Formats: sequence, structure tokens, C-alpha cells
Amino acid sequence: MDLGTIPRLGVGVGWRTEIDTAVERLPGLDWVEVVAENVCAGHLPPSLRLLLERGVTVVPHGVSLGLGGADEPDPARLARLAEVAAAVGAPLVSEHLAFVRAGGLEAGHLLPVPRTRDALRVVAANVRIAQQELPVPLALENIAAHLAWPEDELTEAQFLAELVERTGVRLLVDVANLHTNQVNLGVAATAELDRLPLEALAYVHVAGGIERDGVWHDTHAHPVTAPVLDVLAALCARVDPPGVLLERDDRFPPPAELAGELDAIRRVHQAARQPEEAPAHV
Amino acid sequence: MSERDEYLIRDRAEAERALTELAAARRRLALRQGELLTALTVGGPAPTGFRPEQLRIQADGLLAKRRETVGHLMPELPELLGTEFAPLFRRYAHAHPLTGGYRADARQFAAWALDHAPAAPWRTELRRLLHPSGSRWSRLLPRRTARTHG
Repeated sequence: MDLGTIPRLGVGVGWRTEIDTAVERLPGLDWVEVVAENVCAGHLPPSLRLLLERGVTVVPHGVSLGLGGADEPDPARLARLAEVAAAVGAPLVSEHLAFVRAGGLEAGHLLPVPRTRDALRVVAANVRIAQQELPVPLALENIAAHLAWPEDELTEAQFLAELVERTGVRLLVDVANLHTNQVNLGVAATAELDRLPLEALAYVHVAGGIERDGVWHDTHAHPVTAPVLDVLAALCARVDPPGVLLERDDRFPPPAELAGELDAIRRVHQAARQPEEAPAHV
Repeated sequence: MSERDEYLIRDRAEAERALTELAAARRRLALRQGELLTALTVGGPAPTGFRPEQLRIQADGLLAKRRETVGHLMPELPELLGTEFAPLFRRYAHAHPLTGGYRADARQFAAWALDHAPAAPWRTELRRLLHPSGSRWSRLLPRRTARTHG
């Protein structure tokens, strides 16, 4: 397993059409992520081109490859992701440990893979195919789930650790998804962090959500809450993440609020990097 | 046969066995994922071993995501249909699983709603939306990009 060097990305935000000008004006923005399916390599939105001209790194984030599916990844979808990566000069691209279609049906969302040794063989083969077709390293993200497969043999973190071992794929750790699974499925976020090979960490996702009737909804439409920042802090206590990114997909707040959320993320990151002096021994 | 040839043959046999096993694993995974997705999207039978409450929450989540994405792409639909948007969309979605893109889904739902709500007060406006004077589909061109997140 050769992970090579993982680029320093810094603190960034998910670029979306609805907030393009707000993103352009965010102070101290190091990088952005763009949903790969929403841009065309030959016709990049002017706002993204402006950011690229300014030297802001752009990372394509795929949502429809379905690398956790039973079929080999679709060559056309892979080629499209590769084209977007080349068009924005991305240092890496990311996707999810999830399946999104089966039996001719589209889920329209990310669904968990049954985490068995049998499925691991398939997903590892899919990841290797993707790696061969992509011009840059691939990072895989843990997802927010509302259900668990009865045949699960591994936790999501253990499954990802096996994939890192077998394929050298890098990790995109979504701390909001870890929180989601803690609330909804009872999987302790910090225990999952301990099971992840964080030396393979490419970057971290942070997002807001809301709890309704004891169920956490990872909406990306609400402010980032303290429990999610606590998971970020727990991660930062274990490793210095090369990048952290705020995702917001709906009910966009005023620019100042967005900037405030980025500042909160920076504070958590910095606090972990500058721990308080250890108390003197008596 | 030289020792080297023996190794090559053994390697090839092993590679073939690994490919056969991978193909079998793909078939098993396809079956389970197909069962789950059918249960979650078109009301298929619950696959064995799942907790019914978890299936219900995940199915509701997929439906809400689909409805919100359609409403986002064609904001006229939730505006016109109001409180009827969600229940109508639920009926439509169970009969018409998502097989392609959301833009086609939005157009298909709009046409379905016209056919399935014969007495609704918003019919005239929805028909005008679907068949505006001038370019027939001009108003239905997507106004925004699809929202997708993970």
C-alpha cells in the first residue's frame, strides 16, 4: 500500500451554484469541492473558473458512481469524472462507499453496502477499476445510513480500512455522517475513528443536520451542531487532517453565517493542534 | 514441462478461479441490493433480517430526497400543488420508480398529476405549465442544477 503524498488542502466549502458569489468572497478560503455530476468539463461555470484563476484548489466529488454496487463502475461515468478532474486540475477526486442503483432501479441517494467479506471482494475490485481510469488519487467517503444490513460482519470503518489495505484508496471522513450513524444506528463515532487508518485521510466533511423524533437527518440544510464539531475535534486529536470542508446544499444562510461556520471549524482544528500545556507534575 | 511453465499454469488457474469467485460474489451482491432497493422504492417485500422500522425510515428518506429534488428543479410544482404535492408524489413514486435522471422525473410527475387529479383546482395552471404557448416545453427546462449530496 503506497499512499504517496496527500496534498494540504486547508479549509474549504462545497461550491454550489446558489452560493457561488458568496463562496467567491469568503475570506481565507483555501479550496472548494464541486459535485462532479453538476459540472461539465468543457463548460465550467465562470465562478469556478474565477476561483481556479485565483489559485483555489477544486476537488470533484462524485455521487453517482456507486462503487459499492454489484456491477463494475460504468465506464462512461468514470470517464466523465476523470474529465472533470482534469478540467479543474484536481489533486484528487472523491466518491462514496455506497451503492446507488440495483436491478434497474435508481436509489437517488447513497445506500450502505452489506459489509461482508464477500462484498468486500466486489467493492475492492470496483475501486481498483476506478483507480485505473482516474488521472488522480481517489478518496472514499463514509456515508450516513438509516439502516444496517443483517449480514454485516464489519463496521463501516473496518470495511474502509480493508479497502485502504487492499487498494491504497484514500479516506474522506464525514464527521456528520459518523454522528448520524451514532444517533440512528448506535455506532459510536469515536470507536469508528479508532478503527479508521487515518494515515490515509485525504480530507474531512462537516455538515449540519437536524434531529427529529430521535432520528438524525443529515440534511446539509441546517447549521453545523456542537455534537458534529465534537466528532471533528475527536478526529483532529488523532490526526492533523490535510483538509476540512463544509457542505451546505440547501436553505443557504447569509454569507456571514457561512463564514462563521468556517471559522468555527478552523477553531476546532487549531485547538487540537495547540493543546493546552500539560499540568505540572507535583 | 519446465518448472517455470508449471508456475505459469498454476498462476493462470488461480487467476481464473479468482475471477469466477468475483463473478459469483457480484451475483450475490446484486441479488441482495436489488431486493433492498425494491423494498425501499416500490414497496417490494422486506428482505429477510432487516429491522422494519429502519426500512421505513430509509424508504421515507429516499422518497423525501426524490420529492425535494423534483421540487427544487421545478419549483412551480410544490407552489401549485401545495399540500397535495407530497401525497400525490408518494403515489406517483411507488408506481414510477426512479430509473433515470431527476429532470425526466419532474416532467413525468407533472404529467401524471394532471391525469390523476381530475378535480384539482390547480389543473389549469399545471396544464399551462406543461403546455405553454410558444415552445411547448420551454417552461420545463430545468431552472437549477440537481442537488446531490452524501
